[in-house]
Amino acid sequence: MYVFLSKRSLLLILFSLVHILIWSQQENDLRISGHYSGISLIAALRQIETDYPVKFYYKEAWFARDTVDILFDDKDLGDAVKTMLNGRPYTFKIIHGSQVVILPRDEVAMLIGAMLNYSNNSDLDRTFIQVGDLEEAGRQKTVALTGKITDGKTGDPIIGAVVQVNNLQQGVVSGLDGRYKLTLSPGLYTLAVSSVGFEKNEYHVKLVGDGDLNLELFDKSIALEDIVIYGQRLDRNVSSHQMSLVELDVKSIKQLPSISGSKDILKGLTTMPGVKSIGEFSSGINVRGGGEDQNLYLFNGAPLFNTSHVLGLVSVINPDAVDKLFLYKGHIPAIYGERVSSVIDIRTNETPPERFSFKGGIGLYDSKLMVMVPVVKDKVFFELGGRTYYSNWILKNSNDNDLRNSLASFYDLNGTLHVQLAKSRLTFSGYTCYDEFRFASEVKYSYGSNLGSVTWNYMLGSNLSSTFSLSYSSYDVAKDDISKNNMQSRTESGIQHTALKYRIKYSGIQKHNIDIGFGVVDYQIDPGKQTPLNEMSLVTTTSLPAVLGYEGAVFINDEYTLNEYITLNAGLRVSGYRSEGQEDYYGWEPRLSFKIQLNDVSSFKMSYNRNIQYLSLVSASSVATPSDIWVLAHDEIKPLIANQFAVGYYRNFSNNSIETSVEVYYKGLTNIIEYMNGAQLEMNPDMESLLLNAEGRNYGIETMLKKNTGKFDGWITYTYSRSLRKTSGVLPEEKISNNQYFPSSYDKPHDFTTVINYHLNKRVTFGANFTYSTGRPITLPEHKYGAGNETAVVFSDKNEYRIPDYHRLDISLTIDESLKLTKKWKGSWSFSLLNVYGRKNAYTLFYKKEEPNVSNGYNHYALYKLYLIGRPVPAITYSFIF
Amino acid sequence: MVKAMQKYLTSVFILLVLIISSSCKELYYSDEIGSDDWVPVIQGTIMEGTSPVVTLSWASGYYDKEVQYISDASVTITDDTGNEIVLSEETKGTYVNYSYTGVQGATYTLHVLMSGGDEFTSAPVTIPVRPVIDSVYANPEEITVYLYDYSGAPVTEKRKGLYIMSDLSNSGDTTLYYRFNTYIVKEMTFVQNPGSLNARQGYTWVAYTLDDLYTIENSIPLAGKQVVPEHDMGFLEYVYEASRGNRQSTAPYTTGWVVVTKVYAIPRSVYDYYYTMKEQLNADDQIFAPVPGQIKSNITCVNNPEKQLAGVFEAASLAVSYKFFHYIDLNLYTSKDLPDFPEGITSGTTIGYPPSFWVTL
Repeated sequence: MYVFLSKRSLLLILFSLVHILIWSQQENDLRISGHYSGISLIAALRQIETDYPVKFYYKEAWFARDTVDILFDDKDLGDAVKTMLNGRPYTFKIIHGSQVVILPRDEVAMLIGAMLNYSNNSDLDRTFIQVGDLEEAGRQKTVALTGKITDGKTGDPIIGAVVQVNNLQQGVVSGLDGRYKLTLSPGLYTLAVSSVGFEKNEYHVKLVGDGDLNLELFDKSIALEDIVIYGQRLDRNVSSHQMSLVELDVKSIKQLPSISGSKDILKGLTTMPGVKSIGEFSSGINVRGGGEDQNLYLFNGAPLFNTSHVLGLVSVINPDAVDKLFLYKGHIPAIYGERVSSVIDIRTNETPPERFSFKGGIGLYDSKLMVMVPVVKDKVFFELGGRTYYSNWILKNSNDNDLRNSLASFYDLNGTLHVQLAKSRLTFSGYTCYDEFRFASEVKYSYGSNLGSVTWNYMLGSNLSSTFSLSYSSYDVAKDDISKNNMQSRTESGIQHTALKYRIKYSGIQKHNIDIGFGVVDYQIDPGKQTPLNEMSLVTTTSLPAVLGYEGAVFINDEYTLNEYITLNAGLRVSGYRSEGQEDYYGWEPRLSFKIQLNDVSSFKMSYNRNIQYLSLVSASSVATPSDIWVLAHDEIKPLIANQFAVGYYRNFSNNSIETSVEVYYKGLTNIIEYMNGAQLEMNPDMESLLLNAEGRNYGIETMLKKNTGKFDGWITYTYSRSLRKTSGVLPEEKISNNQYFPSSYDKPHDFTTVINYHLNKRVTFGANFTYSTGRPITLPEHKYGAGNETAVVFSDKNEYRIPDYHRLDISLTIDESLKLTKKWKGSWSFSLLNVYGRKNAYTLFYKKEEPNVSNGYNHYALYKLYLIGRPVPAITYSFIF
Repeated sequence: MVKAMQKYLTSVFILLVLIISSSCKELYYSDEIGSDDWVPVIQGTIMEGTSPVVTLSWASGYYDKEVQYISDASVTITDDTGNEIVLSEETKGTYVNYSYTGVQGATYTLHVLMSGGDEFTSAPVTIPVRPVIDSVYANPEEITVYLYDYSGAPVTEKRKGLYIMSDLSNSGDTTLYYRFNTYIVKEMTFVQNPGSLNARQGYTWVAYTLDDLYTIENSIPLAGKQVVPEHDMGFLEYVYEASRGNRQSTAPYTTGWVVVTKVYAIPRSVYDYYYTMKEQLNADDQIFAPVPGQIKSNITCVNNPEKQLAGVFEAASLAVSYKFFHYIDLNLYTSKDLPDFPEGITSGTTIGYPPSFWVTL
């Protein structure tokens, strides 16, 4: 006699037994004898039911194919059942001495608490892939899930694929052979698997013991996407311990209009909360009130010291070369140092191409091309890309005489070579760029960067990997003063940065991900060399001595998942700096972050960061210029120190399709560089004596609403923030604004940005973005007086006024020619209109002596507003991929 | 296909020109600009062989046009021997002492006590050694000038003329500082009633300065001397506009230029004042948003060092060169030294006879 249990009745029975922890070790009086040979297990059970007063509860399907050959001789009922179920994933319970309930072992384990459900749903009928031996269910506290991630189409291993355990702050990246390993408690899990260029896939896993599970990913169906988000969970903003992180979705940036028609990933960052730029097309970005020099830009591990072409018109990063971009603006992990405001970690593609391919674009102002070449399939491949800018012929036809006599051009080249070895991978990366810019017949800038890096990833074990990197970066600028025939001169300066870094990652301890490593940096700064530009020049050669400095750091970082609600990330970085003949500096840089998962859709996070910066940029202007000078810390220029506290609340809606967040931060800064009035920095051997150490405080609240899916997607941000500075000088020339707090040049209290895309269909997308921000602070003349024939002015306290508020609307239309995977050539047209309503946003205000004419109202002197875009600007770009 | 491409390129070109031409500057006005502070302006000069003059005024609001002078102040100058030179108010805000003249090598300090109680003093300034102008000479050149026509479209023109240069030298080991002031009288002739019995020779002249108040240089060491070689004083442009001629008069024809070169030797603190003025008024690199700089005065308020003020107390010695340049073509020009030339010439015209200062070769 048997009973076919319905799911409901089975559960009722099970729940009634939840309090019993050990099922199989029970006493009863019934004893069994008999020979059950060559019959099915079900038949044996039925026979026992017939012969003895006992009932078995089970599902026939469980034993449909099982047979037995057993001889019982006065066997205890419990032992008899145990013998029959031996080797099978079932256990049982005898109730009242004669009712035997048989159940799968793992479900019992789950119900009694040994197996938790971390999956996305509680539907037990959902098909879970079982991993491990059910016989072992409930006997191990932790089990190892291993396997290989492959391309479902080709079977090739996928390197660097991310396996993320949903609802747990845990995940791994596949190694060089595509293998991965996760150490977890037995339970039900949903694994999110993703990799660049592949559709994200989810696997529901019933993990009961150690075992293998191979995972597959498939190509994305839409191929013409610039860059995809890297390993990002839908609820990552909530579930990750990391706060104040921007993982740039460059796919979204593709929808943004840009002045040159092509995409610009660095400028795209300014649509994120807390990230601003000082003005339209100014070089670089300002993160949470910090200066441009407070951002560490890493391109495949090598630092970039200049981020803009054409004085800020275009970022130096070719978007086609970028695979991933992370901007850390709050909690900066301990592996990063050298800067206090942010780290922008830019990585190029690491996925081997299947075949020779190329992509590029042709725009009004620039063109780009990138080739991807497999040398040895899945083992060796390289990528080579470049851009060039051709505006000189445009300038020659300008109706402004200054522009007619100006020139602007640039190129950049980047290349990477990947070599896959047995247990390691070598990546060689190179980048070079060069700019020429001449404004009228006064000054000409030539500047360029050269970057190179070698990265060696080595898998020391399934839980242990190491990364060794060696990088070199240089930036050189030459400024030609061509205004006077007999005094034409060239002033050259530059910086060289050589770094060696080593890092070990260990994830063998359950709930811990540990990073440990060190790094050393060798700096050489050439502050200036002035030479005559031609034989007629009367300028004599002058050189300032090179400055050498060394920075070293060790760090340790542990990401500890305390339980399903709390994750702690604790790191410590100890850095030091030495320069010959100068005071040595060192400091502790604790990095802490803490996440409390309030529920599936919301979390609370907080972080504290201390960062030290030994290298600063000094500039004689309000915005960064190519000829600004890098200076190292020494007796008079102390290291810049920042202490940042941040708290945030994150809440998702509609199955993570809508994200919201609020972050509040406070950043205290000491030893910020400020300048004495009229400081002349270029070729000044006593430049340091003109610099002041100031203190600062930046604070603000950042809000964001982001919609990820649907016909409409995009984001809206609002930030209220302040960035203030204060000197503490004794002498009048050492005081700025009488040693009272004054707004820094990056102080723009209100900032509102909205980016909206409407996907008409898979091929056509409309985009619009609107930005509003308070005008930046500026110093303006308050009084004037006559001196001879001149009219001189007395300026206000520093940054007492503001330029007019900034706002601009841009729209775009993107049309993809074809989305078919079978079509090799895929083109895309991008039309954009910048500054739709033609606002003349002020870039700066300045007081200047002019030749009297109609345009300046015959005023010999006047206050002028300089604007860069005064009307709607159309742009068109054709992009392609083959 | 070619036509389509040409059409496309033309469209692109027009778009680009639109974009580039959209970058511009315009006059800016804001009624938010203003301050309730009163900023005194103290401008004093003592030169070798010249009586000291000090002018006191209030800096006006940025958008104001009226200048208010400061009267009833006590103004004195002390020298390094302990002498006190008292200046009296000659006209409103202008204080002089005609009984004293500056002495080369002497060090002077200005003191101003205003009726409100604010007291000001200058850094001590020494009248430097008089400059030596080795030569003033010309380099003929053809230059390109960039202009706008009546419609605002840019045009370029070639202009011929003379670049005027000067060389200075002084003995010494330390850097010397100079301020330049170049005064030009351009001489032109024409014929009134040409071709008639009443035809008469006309003389016309234009007086102007070639440089700015803050045209300064510092010396460099060369062969045991402190020199300023090839100081660029400016371009004397030769223009003959035949279209200006008519029945009543021929077009003016340039016969030459009188170049009066004044070189002031000044102390470093005064040089810094003019240097910072030059930085303030020449925002050539406005595309980089230069940080506005206050002009660096060598005067401070004794009873309130934080008080904002403007001006300078300048001690100087002066050297003057007079020269006449005659130009016909790039390969045909000449010059001659003049013993002197009258001050204060203003532009004018005479018919039939030249003015008394008229120079001919």
